[in-house]
Amino acid sequence: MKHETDLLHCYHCGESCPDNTINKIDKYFCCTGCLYVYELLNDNKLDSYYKLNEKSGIRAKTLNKDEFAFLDNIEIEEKLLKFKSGHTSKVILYLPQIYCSACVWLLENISRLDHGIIDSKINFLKKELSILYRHDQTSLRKLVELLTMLGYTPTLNLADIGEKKQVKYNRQLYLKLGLAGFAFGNIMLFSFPEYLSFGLLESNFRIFLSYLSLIMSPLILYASGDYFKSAYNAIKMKHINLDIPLAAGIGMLFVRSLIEIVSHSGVGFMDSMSGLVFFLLTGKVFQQKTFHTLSFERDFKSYFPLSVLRKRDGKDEYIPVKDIKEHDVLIIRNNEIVPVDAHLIAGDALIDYSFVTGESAATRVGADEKIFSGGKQVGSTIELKVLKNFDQSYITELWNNSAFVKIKETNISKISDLAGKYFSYAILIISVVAFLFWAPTNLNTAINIFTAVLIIACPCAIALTIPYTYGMTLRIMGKNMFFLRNDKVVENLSRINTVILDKTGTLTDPGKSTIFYKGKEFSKSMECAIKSLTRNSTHPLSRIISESLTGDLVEIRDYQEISGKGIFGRFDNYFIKLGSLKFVEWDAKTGANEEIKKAADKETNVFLSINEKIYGYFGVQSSYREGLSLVVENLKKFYNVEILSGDNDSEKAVLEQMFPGVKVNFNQLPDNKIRYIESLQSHGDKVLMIGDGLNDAGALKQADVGIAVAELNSNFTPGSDAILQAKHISKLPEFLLLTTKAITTVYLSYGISLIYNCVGLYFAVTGKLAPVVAAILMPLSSLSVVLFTIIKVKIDAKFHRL
Amino acid sequence: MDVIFLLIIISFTLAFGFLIAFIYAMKHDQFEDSVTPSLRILNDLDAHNKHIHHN
Repeated sequence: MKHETDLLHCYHCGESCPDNTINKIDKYFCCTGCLYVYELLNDNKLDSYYKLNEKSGIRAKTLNKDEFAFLDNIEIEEKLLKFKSGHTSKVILYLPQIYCSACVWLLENISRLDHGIIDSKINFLKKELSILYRHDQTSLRKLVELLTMLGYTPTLNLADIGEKKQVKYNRQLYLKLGLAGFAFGNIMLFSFPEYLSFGLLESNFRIFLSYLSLIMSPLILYASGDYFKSAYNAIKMKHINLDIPLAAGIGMLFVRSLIEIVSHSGVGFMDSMSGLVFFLLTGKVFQQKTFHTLSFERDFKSYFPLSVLRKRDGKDEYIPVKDIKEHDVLIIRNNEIVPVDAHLIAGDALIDYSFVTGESAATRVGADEKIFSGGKQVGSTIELKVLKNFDQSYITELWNNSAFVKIKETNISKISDLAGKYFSYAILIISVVAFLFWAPTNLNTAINIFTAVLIIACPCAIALTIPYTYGMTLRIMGKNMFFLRNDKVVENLSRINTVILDKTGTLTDPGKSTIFYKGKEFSKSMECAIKSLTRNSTHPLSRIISESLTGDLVEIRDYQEISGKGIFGRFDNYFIKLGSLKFVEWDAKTGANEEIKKAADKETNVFLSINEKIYGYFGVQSSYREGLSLVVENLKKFYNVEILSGDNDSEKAVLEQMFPGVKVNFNQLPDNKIRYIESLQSHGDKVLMIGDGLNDAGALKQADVGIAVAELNSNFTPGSDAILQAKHISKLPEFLLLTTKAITTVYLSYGISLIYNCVGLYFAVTGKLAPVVAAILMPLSSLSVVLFTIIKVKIDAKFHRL
Repeated sequence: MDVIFLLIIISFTLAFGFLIAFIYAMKHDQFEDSVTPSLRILNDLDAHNKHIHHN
């Protein structure tokens, strides 16, 4: 029989079923929750959910009755809603569990489960569900509860009710590209008779076609508006950039075309003008690449709950976090974040501050001791008394530190700025000299040549170089799980000469900690007993210890757990105690030796005594990520590498052995890290900081480039310019080398476009610039540059195996 | 030769139609999410009782 049940998988979620008791006809379920969801879907003709993707369900959760009671709070509800008018409301919820087409199907048909829902629509990339519903028939709370029951628990956090920063894709840019493309295509069509007739075209037909081209000009002028605006602003600020010659070129093309066409003296340059603007805009579009699943703008509020359970006059109620008052009593359950500074009044508090400090091991907090905001409770439910309200709590204060507010200049490419400057001066000089040279002989020709120089020198190819090179690099990095905030980060990365690594959470893996034992050896049967004893406890440390030991499970007699102190029990003739030093020392016959006493400083050490004799202690040690020695070795060839650690120097020897010759600074608090980077920068160093967690956020922001190392995409990554997935950290040296190669590509591409410009200038200065020459040269130069940069970056990436 | 004038006007009108269609699609967020529709099309198992609403 046992063999059979091993093969049973839940029809809803696919997890293995403990037995075959929960079933319906021929379908088996792992829990009543899953069965309930199945029946609900089946009754409402939504069972095709299972046909789309077998076992597509998410294991049903038991819904806590009051878990979403806070959504009945009108103030919270209104802030979460997109709009509310008349009978209808619209809300957009983030559902991280969406992963397949069956999810899309179920959630878009959810109106069959709640008739108050008018329409529901998924954005798969953003994992967002937007629901339009009648609020007189259903409520936000009911919707969220329904979704939770189906296994799609919406992520609701404090950031959702803050000021909404809408990050919309640049719709206007796409519109402009569309308009420019439309104009470009049509004008090329109108220009072909002129190109192919070699001047034999009937003059009235020619005029007709040129007028048709001319009526497209408003579209092109609208599409190129940004260049004129930027050029105007630059001149106003007495600053020269690449947009000035661009705007001058586009402007000249238009004015000359207008005069030629209206005076019937020529066909104008509308073809070149539309092509130019179209190519420029494709560069702008290519430059932008958004990684939908990532957000660089998140702050700590995205990790804070919306509400908290408050105990008052014997009644528990959910209140918004910002309504917490001093002296309130809060109830924090397992895995909930403590939103305000408070002290413990009841329960066994084990606080995980990894979100704030990056330190993985949880800290035990005794009765009446202070718990800082941002800590997460692991284990049982605790009760806290509030010390400070939200605005004055530790994490809010830390966040408001000036280093976090600082805005970095990442939006200006220094290379393109410099190129723009030299180029503008060169063009201005050439055009004026050409004008002065011809002016005495023929003023008309002089003006023609002056404008021709401005037209042909229009630095379209130069302007396209950076968007395409950086844009391509950005994409290749993204494919390798290294996500840059924007394309300018490529340039900033290429300038780096110092790399600073944070130890905790960056070099070490917060998800992986190893248990070590120090002290007197214990026998095999004792090990079995300890393993079995610790299995009885739900304490996270007990669980890790249990997993780290080997041996068969045995039955423990007289097991008892003293909350916040430790556990004990009997097996055979052993009496085993595990817990804090005080707890095991209390009845010990002999005191602990010096080494063991010293170990009591660390909260996470668990002490062991057998038969009233202190044996030793178990400690948690963070383990280093794999392959780091090689990464640092490679980085050291090109960069000055240093390590900053917030911990004490207990692991100094390990670090020195792993990373020989690397300077390591211990005891660096968040503030120290910021100042350390500042001091390096004041010596002219360009600093790359690699870190994680809120404790590094200030340093990440202070550094020229800050890279956040993240376990998952949802990790906390404030202040960073780039997010690197932790398991790809070994590729870091390649990423950095690729950026320096990208800069070489930019210079080479500048060279190519200058050659084209010289050829064009020859035609212009000698007065031989026919519209058809411009129409060939300008797209050709742009196209060569685009192809060159894309191919070059791809080859470089191949070379570095990216 | 004169027919070319007519053809050009026709082609221009057609292209203008496409431009209008493009602007319409743009304004109605059709470019906002290009992935979900590709998943949605697989799911039209019982389209007969699906209610489609537009806001």
